[in-house]
Amino acid sequence: MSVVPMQKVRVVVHQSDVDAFLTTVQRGGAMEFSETTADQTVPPTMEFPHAQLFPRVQHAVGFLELYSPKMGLWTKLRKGTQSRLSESVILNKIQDTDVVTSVVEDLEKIQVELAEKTDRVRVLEEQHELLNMWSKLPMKLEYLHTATTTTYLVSTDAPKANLPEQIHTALTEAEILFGITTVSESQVAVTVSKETSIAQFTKLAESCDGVVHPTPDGTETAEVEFVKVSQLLAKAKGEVALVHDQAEHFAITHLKTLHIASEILTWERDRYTAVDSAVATQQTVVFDGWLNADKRAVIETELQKKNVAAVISEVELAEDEQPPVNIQNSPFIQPFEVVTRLYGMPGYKDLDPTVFLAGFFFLFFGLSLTDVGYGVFLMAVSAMILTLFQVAPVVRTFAKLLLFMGLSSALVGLLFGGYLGIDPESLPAALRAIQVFDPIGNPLPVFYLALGLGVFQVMVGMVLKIYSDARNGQLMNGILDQGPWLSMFFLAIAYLATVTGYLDILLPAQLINLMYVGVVVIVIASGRKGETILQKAQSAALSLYDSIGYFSDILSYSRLLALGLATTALAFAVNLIAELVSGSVPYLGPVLAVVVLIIGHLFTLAVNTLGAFIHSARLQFVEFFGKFIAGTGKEFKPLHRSEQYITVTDE
Amino acid sequence: MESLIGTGLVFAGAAIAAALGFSGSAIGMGHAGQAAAGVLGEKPQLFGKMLLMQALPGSQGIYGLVGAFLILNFSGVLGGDGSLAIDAALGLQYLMAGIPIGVAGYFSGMFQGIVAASGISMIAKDESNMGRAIVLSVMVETWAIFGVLISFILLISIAG
Repeated sequence: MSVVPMQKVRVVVHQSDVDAFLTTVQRGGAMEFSETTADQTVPPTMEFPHAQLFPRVQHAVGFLELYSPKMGLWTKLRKGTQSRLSESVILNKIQDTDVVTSVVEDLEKIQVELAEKTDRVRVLEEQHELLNMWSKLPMKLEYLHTATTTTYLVSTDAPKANLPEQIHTALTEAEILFGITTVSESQVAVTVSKETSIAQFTKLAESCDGVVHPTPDGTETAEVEFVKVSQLLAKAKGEVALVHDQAEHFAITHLKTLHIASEILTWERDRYTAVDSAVATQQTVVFDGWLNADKRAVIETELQKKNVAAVISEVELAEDEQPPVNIQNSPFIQPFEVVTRLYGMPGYKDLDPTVFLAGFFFLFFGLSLTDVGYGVFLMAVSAMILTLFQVAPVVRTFAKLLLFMGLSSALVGLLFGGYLGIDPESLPAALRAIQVFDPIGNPLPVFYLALGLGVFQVMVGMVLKIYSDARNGQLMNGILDQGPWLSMFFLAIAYLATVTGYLDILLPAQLINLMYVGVVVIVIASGRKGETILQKAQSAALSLYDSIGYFSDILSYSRLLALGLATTALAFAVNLIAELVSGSVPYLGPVLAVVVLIIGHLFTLAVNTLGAFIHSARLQFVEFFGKFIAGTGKEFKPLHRSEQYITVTDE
Repeated sequence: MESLIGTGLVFAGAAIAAALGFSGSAIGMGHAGQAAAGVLGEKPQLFGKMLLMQALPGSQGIYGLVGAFLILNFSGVLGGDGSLAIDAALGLQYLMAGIPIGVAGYFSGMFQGIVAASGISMIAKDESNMGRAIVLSVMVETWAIFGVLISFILLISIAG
């Protein structure tokens, strides 16, 4: 439940052991590498050994994924995409890439064959289209070009054009000898002497809104050639289909192998990318970076076990240098890291807020959704994801958070009488007995509850600030900054409790006098910060402005009431529409009502779950984190294995 | 008739609180959403952060909803026994109570959206700017909260 301690380290590794060292730290996700600088060193000469094979494998995967059998979402979720492999199997695969190379070569042959055959189909299709254009001309194609004449086919799209007459006039005016064969109203074949160039003829045809078509190859009439090409085209398409079948078969048998190879090669590529940031001597390679201090002992033991010649030494931090930040929590709290990570990492010297926000987030989400039905639905969905589906770790973590959120909604829903928008009056007496709040009929208690929770969370934030300052050796500053304000909050609570008759220790007037004292203490405590008298006065005056900040923070919690009300109102509206539909449409009414209920409640659930999540998170980020988190940290990004297709198992 | 005018004025107060708050939020979220969509085209991994930034100007709509409910509840329209009698003077007081929350919500929602859109650009350049971007945007919201406060004070000060 804290920010993970980091060490700035320099690791010197014998050149022969570089890959073994990097594999060890990569497996543990323990070290982030940074640019290394050292005297009398040169850039390392090591190169990624599979630099040629890796892109070929990636290309093969991309090609085969188009042909892989389509799985339904349910099957995909049930089976997952990962293969379970042990460390030794992974090692064998990286050392022996012959199988993968052979698969890739075979696939490349298929790709070449497919490209050739597809190109052949394209050429034949073009011929097919051209011959179709010429097919009505009753003239053998071999006579289109003779020793003295050339025949062109001219067509037009202009609807009212009398093409034969226009061409006739144009050629006569140009004093060109010609013969015209009318093919159709919009097509003519014009035979001209060889002396007439194609450019000259095209210009004349265009002046008549005509287009000159290229001459097809062949000897017989266009109609006969058209039949021949049709047969060739059908055959070529059949061959392409055959290659597609081969590719589909290949995908079934080899895609998994290629996915695994691609992932293992990606890991290796990442290791050699880390080498790029290192420097080398004659015998060693030197790496600088940040090491997860909690994992250092395990990494060193592992390196010893593998006889890896590597020495890890800690390096002093430069002035104002901040290590990257990672957070780690118990499995129970870990799902709430989703919320913290959404905001970004806290500063390295800050507290990890996850454990402190978990309870508040749980409660606020419940207050924002406030419905037993929706809560149970969310719990059922998350339980299904966690027990039935093979999903990525990130999705599992989110499903765990969803389980908590559903539980919270169900519990709060019981207290608020939220049951899918059903009127509490029509519920069994046992359920009505549990209900404590009536947010629609009497929203004020919920409003005060929301503000009360706000006051409590803001006060917790102040206490955490004192704790955080104490950890950084600034306990006195923490007490002087937060103490007077905390006292003011306690006095204000005591005053409210006294005037409402819940507390009877001091008189309200006495409490108000104590608050005046509190204001003076705040001014004096804040005044210590400046160096000159003017700065001290300025600091003291500004401290009172904080009251506005606290005030607006607390009022911001009123959103909890509004979000809860919105869920209830929307659910109620869905029920009302369903009731109207049921009564107004004969026979089909009840069926339509069920459809309205399902779609309406799913929509309400989706919209309100998103709103509840975002606004519960916002209350943490704006109103809570601001009290005790000073900076934003740079996220720790270690060399690690991204396990998309492989789950590494024990031997 | 007097009672009808009074009830109508209460409705007008609730409607002003809610509708202006909703409109301010809609405009603000529109500004922020437009900027977020531009960023997501280049950096889809920032979706979570963009969604949160877009949601920030949504608070004014929520405050408007709170205000409308409080007006309806304080006046007895909601949760009453149906024998409601609000005269025009009283109704006018409820109407006035809806104005601060509505107007402040409208303008602060609109301008918070503009600041959130600029914050989105900051985050696109460097993710670690998230905290700063939120703080800048939330500063504008302070005035909507003061609107809530004044409306609430007016409501509890109404002399029936």
